[in-house]
Amino acid sequence: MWTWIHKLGSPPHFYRISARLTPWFSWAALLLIVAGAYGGLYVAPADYQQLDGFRIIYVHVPSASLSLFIYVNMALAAAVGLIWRIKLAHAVAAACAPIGASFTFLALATGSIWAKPMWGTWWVWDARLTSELVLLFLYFGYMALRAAIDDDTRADRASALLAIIGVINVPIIKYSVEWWNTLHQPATISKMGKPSMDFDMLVWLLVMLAGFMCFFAAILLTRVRAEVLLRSRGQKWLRNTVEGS
Amino acid sequence: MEFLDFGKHTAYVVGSFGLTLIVLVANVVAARARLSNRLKAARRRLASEDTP
Amino acid sequence: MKSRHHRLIGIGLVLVGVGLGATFLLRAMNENILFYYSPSQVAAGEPPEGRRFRVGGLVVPGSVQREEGNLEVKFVLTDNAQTVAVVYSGILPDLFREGQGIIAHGELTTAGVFTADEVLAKHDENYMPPEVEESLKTVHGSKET
Repeated sequence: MWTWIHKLGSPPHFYRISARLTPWFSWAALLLIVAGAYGGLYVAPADYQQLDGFRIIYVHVPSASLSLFIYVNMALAAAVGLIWRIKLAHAVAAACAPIGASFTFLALATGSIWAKPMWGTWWVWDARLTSELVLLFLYFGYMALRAAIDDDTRADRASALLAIIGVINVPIIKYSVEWWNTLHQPATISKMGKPSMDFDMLVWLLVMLAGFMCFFAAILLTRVRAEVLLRSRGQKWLRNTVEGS
Repeated sequence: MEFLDFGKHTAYVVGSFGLTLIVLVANVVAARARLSNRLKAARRRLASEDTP
Repeated sequence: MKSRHHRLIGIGLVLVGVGLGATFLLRAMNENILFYYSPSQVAAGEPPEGRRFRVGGLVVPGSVQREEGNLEVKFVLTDNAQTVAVVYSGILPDLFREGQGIIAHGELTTAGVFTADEVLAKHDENYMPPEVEESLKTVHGSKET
């Protein structure tokens, strides 16, 4: 039943597949992000209230979505690694952390830049902003924990547990705007039914979102390969792969 | 620089898109540098195994 | 075989435990997580007395009064049930206008007027071009007449 996991979980197999997939994701990401940025900045109409200021949504929302998406991926990979003792899954989790941290930072920073003219402040301690900041520290904590433990296997297990426990923060971030009074407004596109956004604006947001996803895939595959190289020291398959490329 | 004119919010819009570009490029550079360093290290190790 | 299931159950239990803990913690802290009080909550005396807090509501159309010569603004916030009168002097955010969601930080004076030293705008999750907003208004307006 789990043969497909085991096949994908074999480092040489994964290394070859990801090396082949990376350029595809990279080009798709480049095309989609350029198109999304152009569309968001110049094609989409300005908002009736926020005028051109609303265009920040095209970088803020994809970064924020990705910050959560990457965390869930990281925690899932960590859980798979912990339960089935698959080294490659731990490598994926470890590769997720720096990418996730960078997008969390981006979500916070672009949000702050957007908040200044619209809300009238750079930062408030409301539930949404605070829980997103906690996410950034979870990523930092995860990376610090890995760096602090020399033994690979022990670092994998300890950090995996931290990643899994931290996943509690994900629903808190997502639903903070509904559970509590916050300054941050509720979600525009993630709720069921019709998004509260004009179609001409929404298209470019979806394009940008797809572009960011492809970007994450490309960076993740590259980082996992680097991780696999380190962990497969002294194994036979490395010789063919490394010298062949 | 007419194409970078977003009314009274120009600085905020350009600033956030610029920052995004920086973070994306940094991600690419960091990931590629890491992979190429690890590849070089692996090749060096294999070469040193061959010599004795 | 067996140990794999043990680990799966173990992780499940850890998650349930942490989830329950977080739920209780957040419920206990509910008051502190609330970013602002609504005018109804203020009328019911929910905000702590003698302490600064935030009040949030919509600016009642026609209630905004500006003083000549200085930055002082008076307006009324509503949640469509109760109202709170607010006095503020300072720079208002771009989105401040009648009908807009506003959050004011300050304290309630004995006269029942809220003296704010910070006013933030809270916008909603709807984005649309001006033409669409215009046509929505006319549809809405024709219904009312």
